[in-house]
Amino acid sequence: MTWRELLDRHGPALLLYARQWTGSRSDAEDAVQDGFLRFWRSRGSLDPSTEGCLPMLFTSVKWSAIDGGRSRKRRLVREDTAASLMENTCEVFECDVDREERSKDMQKALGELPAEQREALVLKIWGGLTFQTIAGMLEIPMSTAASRYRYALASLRRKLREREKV
Amino acid sequence: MDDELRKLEQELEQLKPCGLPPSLEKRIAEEIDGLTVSRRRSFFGVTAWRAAGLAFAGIAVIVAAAIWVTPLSREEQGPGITPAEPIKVVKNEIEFEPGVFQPEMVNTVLLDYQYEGVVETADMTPARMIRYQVVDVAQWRNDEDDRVFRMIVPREETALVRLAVD
Repeated sequence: MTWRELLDRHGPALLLYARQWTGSRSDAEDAVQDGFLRFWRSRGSLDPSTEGCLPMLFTSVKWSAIDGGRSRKRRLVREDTAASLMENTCEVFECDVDREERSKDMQKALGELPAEQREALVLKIWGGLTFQTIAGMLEIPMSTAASRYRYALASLRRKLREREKV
Repeated sequence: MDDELRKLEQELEQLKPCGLPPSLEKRIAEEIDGLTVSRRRSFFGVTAWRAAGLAFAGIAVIVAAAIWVTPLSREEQGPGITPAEPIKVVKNEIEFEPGVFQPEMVNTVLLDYQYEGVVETADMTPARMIRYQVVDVAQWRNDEDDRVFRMIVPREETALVRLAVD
């Protein structure tokens, strides 16, 4: 697999993933660039098309995204900023004219999720990773990865219902 | 997971993350093209470093032989033993006198390290891969004229740190 094919296939998910730790889309793009290049340089003889490489790629992008922050406090501030930006913009997902309102509600609800739940959701739904892979990548038990994902879905459902009532 | 959550899951899958802008792909393409050149350079660089390291190691072996194999001083030699001739190192034509260079210092200096993501080990358990660039420095000193012989060998080390699995 060439780097271009790899980027075409996973680029949007990587950008969305990087967006979880960055305050702006341009920062997320920089993180994808750095993380992707770091992965590509260090892949060695690994075949990038194998699923085993994906955690390395996502992790590389994540580290690039959070590299800017030296302290946990700054990182939390950035995550909050990222979440608030996800609420307000249409720069995270492609705009669907037919379901624009619903898409916006979903984006807002996603932005309100705790960072670790959002991360599990992004990796599972848009990254296409299994719970086992997510668990290995985040250094958590598989049951925790699955729980975070389920909590995220349940929270989303609750938030969407609240919005529907309003 | 109940049906409603599955439905929500499917709805989320319908949301498409924004693609990468062409400018980002262009930037990555430029880096990868540059990377090809720099990787070639670094390959030759590594080869040169290795050659230099081997050369130093070879010289060190000769010096070590001069220091440890030959008698420490002429007074300690038994009758009938021919004094050892000074050993000449052919390549740089430095002349080492036997018995005067003493080991002074051995040190390993960490230059840089890169976190290379999570990989699976042979027994399928996840582990962090960390690549270290270090330089080994060994030094001998001639106390009589304060000459110093220093051997510097750059090398890379890859460490796998097993992740905790509950």
